[in-house]
Amino acid sequence: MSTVTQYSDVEYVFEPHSSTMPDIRLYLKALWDRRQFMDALAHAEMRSERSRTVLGNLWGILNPLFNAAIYYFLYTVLRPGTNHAFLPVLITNFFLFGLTMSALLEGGSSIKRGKSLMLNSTFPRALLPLTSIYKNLRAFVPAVGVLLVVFPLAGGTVGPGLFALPLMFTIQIVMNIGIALGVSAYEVVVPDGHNVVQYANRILLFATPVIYPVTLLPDAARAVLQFQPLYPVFASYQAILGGGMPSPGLVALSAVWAGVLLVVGGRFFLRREREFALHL
Amino acid sequence: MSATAWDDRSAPDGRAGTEPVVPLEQSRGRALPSIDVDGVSASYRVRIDAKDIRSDVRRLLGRDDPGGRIIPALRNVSFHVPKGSVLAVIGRNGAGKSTLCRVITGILPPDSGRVTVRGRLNLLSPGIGFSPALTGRENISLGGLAAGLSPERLAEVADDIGEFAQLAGYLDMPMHSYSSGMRMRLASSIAVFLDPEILLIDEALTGGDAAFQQHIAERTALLTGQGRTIVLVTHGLSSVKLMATEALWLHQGQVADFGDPEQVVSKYMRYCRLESIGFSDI
Repeated sequence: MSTVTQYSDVEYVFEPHSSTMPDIRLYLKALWDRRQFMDALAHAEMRSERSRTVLGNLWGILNPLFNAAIYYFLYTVLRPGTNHAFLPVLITNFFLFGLTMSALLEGGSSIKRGKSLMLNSTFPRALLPLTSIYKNLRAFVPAVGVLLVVFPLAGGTVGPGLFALPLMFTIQIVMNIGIALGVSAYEVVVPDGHNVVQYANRILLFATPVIYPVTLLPDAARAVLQFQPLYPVFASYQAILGGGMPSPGLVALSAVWAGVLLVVGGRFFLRREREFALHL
Repeated sequence: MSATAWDDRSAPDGRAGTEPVVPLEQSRGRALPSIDVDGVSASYRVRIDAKDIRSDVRRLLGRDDPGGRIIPALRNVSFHVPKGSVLAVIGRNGAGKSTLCRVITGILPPDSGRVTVRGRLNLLSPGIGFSPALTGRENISLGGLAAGLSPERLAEVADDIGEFAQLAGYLDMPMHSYSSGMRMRLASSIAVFLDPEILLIDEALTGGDAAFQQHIAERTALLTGQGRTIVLVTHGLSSVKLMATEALWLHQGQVADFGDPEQVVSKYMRYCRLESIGFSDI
């Protein structure tokens, strides 16, 4: 190791925690500078998951397929007369909803899971929930390949609305980032937070048009569900996957919800970030 | 202004090896110490489990303490560490030594007071908490990337770190095949290879057997003559006398003594002897 004859012109100042926001520009730059760490950490987590099971990351594809099979069974056997054309939408919905579910559960617990790392290293803490989102996106890539085969096999067709799919997917990812940031901070500062989040996940599954067609909902239910951020996203997905176009109103509402969740979740995270070590 | 270790004033990215560097003689901070700790108090919260369901209900109704107890770990601690010096921090278990390290690195915010650090700061124990599924080499890379090192630099030093950690033959094996001592050795070795200007070594976290502790001590001794500022948290009083230019004795979160290592160690040893025969006042 070389002799230090000169010191960097850097200065760190640490003062008591206050709930003030850090400089966002500097924060984003610090995140960008650690992008290679995020990539390596995502790789490490995926490898760790693979090492714990025989099927490894294949479970990322099998889980939504099994879930779709279970609900399809409920619809066709236990409730005959259901529209079979919904099957390809049901399968795709489970893959897409899985991303938000991971943001909520896995992203939400990312800070707590990274306790040891947090107490021994200094880096922008938002890297942990963001790594969770990034890792699940990487794992989603082979799922897209599976969907491209399974969707038409199950009888699905798409129309011009397909061009709106990347936009809706981007909106969903922005929403997921906001959810992961907000929930991960919440789980750290509220000791019972994880228990509540698990219930929230189940409620979201039923309050989002994942396992049923939007057309089954009465008007009153639709009016109420507008206030549930995931409703307009998955209602739009259903329109696209059913061969139609999503309504501009639903797309706009999705974008607004994504923006709100990102700002609220992000601000909550950044305001509480410096006190994480106190709770862990 | 509050800050985190990645959010410094002059080099926003806080990235090792990328900041604008200035010769020590010309640095605006030449006369300024590497570390200023001014009136710092810090505490942490300990959760105490409820005894039974009735206690849970009483907590919920606000009739009992919600279960968290604030433990004051540091109380009005002040000292300065000049550039290029070696500060040894000594004290009994629970004196607040590791908490002091976490406050200096910005991991734990102080309750009051202010810490100013001038220079590239190392990580306390990078590598701890990484993936057991990855090989030792990949974990070195992960630890270094977290600290902001480039992948190229990490590829260069990986073998040196493995050799220093006495794990050369195991570096490409997954970490889950390592013993706990081997894992700790690797984590500690990454810390001393990050080439920081200010190095914090908490011997409580270095692990390893007596031979490896000696190995780390030799490495630290080597580093002391290289212009780095070193904060060494240790129970090895002989190494304090040998290496330190200043010593800080912490007792129950307060500064019991600060200054010449010989004198501080003598006072501390006298206190330990008195305590062993039943006198515990400093």
